[in-house]
Amino acid sequence: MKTVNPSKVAHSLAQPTRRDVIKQGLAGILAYSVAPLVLPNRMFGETAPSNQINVGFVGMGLQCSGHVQAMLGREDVRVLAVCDVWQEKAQKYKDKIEAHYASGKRGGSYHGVDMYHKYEDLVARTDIDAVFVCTPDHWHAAVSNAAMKSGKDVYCEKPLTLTIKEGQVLVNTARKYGRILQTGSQQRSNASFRKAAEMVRNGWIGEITGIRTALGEFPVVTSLPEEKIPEGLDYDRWLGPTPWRPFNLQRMKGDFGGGWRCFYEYGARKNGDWGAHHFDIIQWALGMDHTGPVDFIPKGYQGTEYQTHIYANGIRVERVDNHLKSMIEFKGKKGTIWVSRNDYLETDPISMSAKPLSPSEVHLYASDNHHDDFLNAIVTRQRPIADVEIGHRTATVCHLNAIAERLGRPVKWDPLKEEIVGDPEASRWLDRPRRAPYAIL
Amino acid sequence: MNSKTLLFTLISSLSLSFLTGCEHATVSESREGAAALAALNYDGTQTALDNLNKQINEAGLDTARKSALIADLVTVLNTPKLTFDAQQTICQKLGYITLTDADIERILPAVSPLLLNLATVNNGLLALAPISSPRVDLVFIDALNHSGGELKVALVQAFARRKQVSATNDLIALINDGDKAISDAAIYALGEIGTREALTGLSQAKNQSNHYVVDAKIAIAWKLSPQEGSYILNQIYLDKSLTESNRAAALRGLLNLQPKQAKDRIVDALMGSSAAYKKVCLESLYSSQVPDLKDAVIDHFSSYDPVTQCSVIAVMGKLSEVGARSVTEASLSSEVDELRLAALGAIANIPSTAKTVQILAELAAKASGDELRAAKYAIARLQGEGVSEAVIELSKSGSVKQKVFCIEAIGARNMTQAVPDLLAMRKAKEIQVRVAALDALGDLASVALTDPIYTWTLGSKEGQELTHAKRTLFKILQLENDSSLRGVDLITKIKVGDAVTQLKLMSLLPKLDSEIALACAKQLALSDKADVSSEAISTLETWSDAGGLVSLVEITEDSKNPSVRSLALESALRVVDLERTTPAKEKSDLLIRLFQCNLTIAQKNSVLYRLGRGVSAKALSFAVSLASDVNYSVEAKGAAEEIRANKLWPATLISEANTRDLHNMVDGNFKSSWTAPTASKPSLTIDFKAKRIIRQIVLDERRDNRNYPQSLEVYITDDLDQLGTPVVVVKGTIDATIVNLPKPYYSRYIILKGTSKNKDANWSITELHVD
Repeated sequence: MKTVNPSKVAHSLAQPTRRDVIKQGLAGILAYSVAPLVLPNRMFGETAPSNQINVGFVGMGLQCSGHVQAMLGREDVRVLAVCDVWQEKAQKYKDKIEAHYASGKRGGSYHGVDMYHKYEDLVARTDIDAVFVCTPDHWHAAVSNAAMKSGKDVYCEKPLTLTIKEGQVLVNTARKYGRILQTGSQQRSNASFRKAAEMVRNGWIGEITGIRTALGEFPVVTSLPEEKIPEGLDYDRWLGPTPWRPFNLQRMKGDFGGGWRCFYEYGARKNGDWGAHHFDIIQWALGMDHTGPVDFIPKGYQGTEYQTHIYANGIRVERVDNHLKSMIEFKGKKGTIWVSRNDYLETDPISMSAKPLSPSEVHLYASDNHHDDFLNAIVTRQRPIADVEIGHRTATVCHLNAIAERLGRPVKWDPLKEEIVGDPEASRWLDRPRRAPYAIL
Repeated sequence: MNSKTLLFTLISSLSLSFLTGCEHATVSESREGAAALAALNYDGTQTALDNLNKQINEAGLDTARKSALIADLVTVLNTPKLTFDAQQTICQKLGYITLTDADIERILPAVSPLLLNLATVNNGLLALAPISSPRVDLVFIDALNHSGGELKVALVQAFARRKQVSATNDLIALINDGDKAISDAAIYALGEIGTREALTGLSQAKNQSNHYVVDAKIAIAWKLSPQEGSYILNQIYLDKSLTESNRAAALRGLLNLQPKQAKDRIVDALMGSSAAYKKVCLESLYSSQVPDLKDAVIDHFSSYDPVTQCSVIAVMGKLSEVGARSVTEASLSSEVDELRLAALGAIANIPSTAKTVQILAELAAKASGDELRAAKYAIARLQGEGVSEAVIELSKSGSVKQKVFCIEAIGARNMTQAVPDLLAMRKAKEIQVRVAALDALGDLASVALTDPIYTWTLGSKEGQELTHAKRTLFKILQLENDSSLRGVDLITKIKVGDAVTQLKLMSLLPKLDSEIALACAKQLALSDKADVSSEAISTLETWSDAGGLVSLVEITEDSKNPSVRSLALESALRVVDLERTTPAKEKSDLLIRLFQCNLTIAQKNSVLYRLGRGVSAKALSFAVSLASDVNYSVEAKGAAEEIRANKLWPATLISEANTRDLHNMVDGNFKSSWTAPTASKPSLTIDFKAKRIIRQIVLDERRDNRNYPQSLEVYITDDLDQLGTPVVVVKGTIDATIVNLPKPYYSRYIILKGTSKNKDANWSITELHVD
């Protein structure tokens, strides 16, 4: 019998395509784009005798895994505490983290990770320097705010908030308390997205004629029967400030394709989930980090085929969920840029993607690693690449698109005053009622 | 009936008694519609909710329609058998509607009683908390005076959201309540209200170190005049009974509210020992507008510890502070590694001079790893008078390492003015310089460079320089957007060139991704020059689309040279084995064409073996026609049997680990895959629904090529209850895991069991093939 030589398979599959070659060329250029500034943590001598940044995690579900893994891989960080409303999830990570630290110890045992049910207890610790907030969206603001007021710096998952008002509160707290907050919109720490944004910012594709992005769609939410609440789960606290609903595992499940992400109670569906990434890059590319669009038009209104938001300079962003070859497409009078994850960056003309920036052109804040950037910011006290206001402004774009969709009418926005214009009813949606006793923000 | 609804039904029978005397609004919708809304339940039909949403949206900003709708909703709220879901839904909708005074009067009798009961208070808050109205303020205060325990906490928290000034005294009365939840909520609410009266009230709190008290004071300080705010913050800052974190927050406020003192406070803190104070002072530097602050901070630079120096330099870089150039340049020579790194990051943004270039080049010549990378980052962005000229000069006159550093910088800085200098470096005696120049020319690629780079490429000997020359040449070739024109020059040069030229340039052909490049490669494969022909056949094997396979078949057909035919056949069969994107029918047709070539019996049997992967009637007919031929009967019969089995493909796939994406393994799409965590001990059952021949299993993992199965048990059986022992245990491999069975099997089921002990990994299959 004739068999296939596996090594030849690998060889064949690994053959570079033309795009791969472009990517390799791009990599050469991008190698110059980030300073590997990894600073020591000796500033934390009082709270961390080991010269490490002590961190705690709140929300031990699907999203925390990558963050925990990254922190465990660092000698300058020590994970001291985990917190979840579901005891078994907190226990799982406590065990995992302790096993990791034990593996590096003589004798092989370690018991230095504390487990919390309430985030208030974790943020009250004086020996923790930074908190990772990996909960569903509806808990982001309360946990982040409490952590910052307790003197912690925060890495908060995206989208930063559930409401625009929450974002304003977080920005105020960060500034008034002198805290660092990194939003988990990590596409900003990717070279291809940065290069795409720099090309737009420097006018390489000329005047922008349109921007399109693909966010995808979640399944429609169906009514769910009540199920028995599992032992060890504080479901009421999981619901937190959101309206009470009967328990069903599907409602609170961490699932990138569904689960809690499908429910407007806990997020802004795809506008929040992927919009927090792609709208964020668009804000960055257009230089709109401290402002935002002025018109939000739901799909099918005012003659639009797609959900659309428009900036004051007339630039339109369409949410085209299908038939787009990349996650974001920037179209200009002199060219087009397509950019996605996995280092996908394609341009027309093709030569543009690998062309270096000259020193006099706009170089955007460069980060190759969202965690490094956060930890460096903790030491330097400088605003990280996805600073709290950036996260808030991007979340605002997400929320206003969702508000217009839910209201079923276009919404006008004043990004300077951060107010909805001429629609007091829509203005009600800038915040949501918060259920007691979880109403403190 | 769910748990909350059951509780609610008991309570609503009481609370609704308050509603008997209320105004009865006209029901504009049908009585059935109102009844359906009143009966709304979380796990039932949501049609009533959908209809309500539709009505609200249709009413838009029409006040009259909204008022009519509100009247309808109040009617439903008064329904005796109202469900909890319905009450919650209606309250939620009311909370999002702008109400007139008349609307407010209409809803209050129905909604305000909800504030008096723990089970319904959150529903009442949904409707009433967003309403700014003195009438509603009174309702809340009245409710507060009739509440206790958790109900009181809910109402006090609502005052915070409402920032209800009229509740100040009621809240002050609660700040020392025995129930900590109530007192904390009251303190928080006073902070949100933010008036002087609220502040005065806070002074009555028994525990002034309670963080709620401190936070409330800080909140109020920012709301009052700078003078009043400073007074409050200064009290906190100087209060040694408070935590350092609290005091640092106060200091941060003082830096803003007392700008005249900010300079001294910041410098003192940076020279001091308090980490908390340093943190807020450093954070404030970026946004501070205090005059001369940066100069003062820089003036005291040598008094800071190295880590504070790192932070100061980082902020000066971020601010492009030209006054910080000297300390930054000096820090580039520091013995502290981190300080040098910080300085490299900062200098990139600080206006610089030729001297800075010299310093960077000297540092880079001695640096490695992160430091060298940071130096490259810095030189790529460095701006200032004479900087570019200094880079060019050092690229020619420095040490070899300095030259390389500056040559790379020419590329990274897009300095097209240095192209003539780079081309001249072809004559440099140091290979490092030549290679760096080629790479820089690649960065600066333009059509005008085509001929010089051809010349450089063809003049290069095999090895590093040739590799880099070809890479640069390719970058230039790809500037042509039209694929039909891309590389025309290259192809002409290959066609008219000698064997050496052809061998040097041939590997660029597949990257051109064009028809003319394919035709050129085929022509070279049929060349009389054995080395050229062999290399061209290898090149075709690496072609990124099916064109390479078609050409290899044509070469096998057309070549009169048996060794060329053999080479082409072997390459074609390898492509057939590995390349799964070509439709099976087309592949079968190509295999039939290969069989008909002038080949040995053994070679033809190897072709027949692959024919078994087809599904077409033509392939089956061809295999059947050879079944009685003594030379081919074994492989032909096997192929026929396999083709019949393939018609049942795709098989039914079963896995408990991830049931949703199973079809992704057999959809022919390399952008979709099936993934399961290895921690779940995933197993995959392939059910062919009938017995079939099984000789090889291929797990293509190209979409997520690192998540291959680290260990895999393969069972083949006709009875899922009796798996027996695995027929083979394999270790997966990156990109594709190929399971060659020890012998052909004739069975219905394949079961693949992942046995990896790595709990954090995934097992991902992009496409599954069974031969």
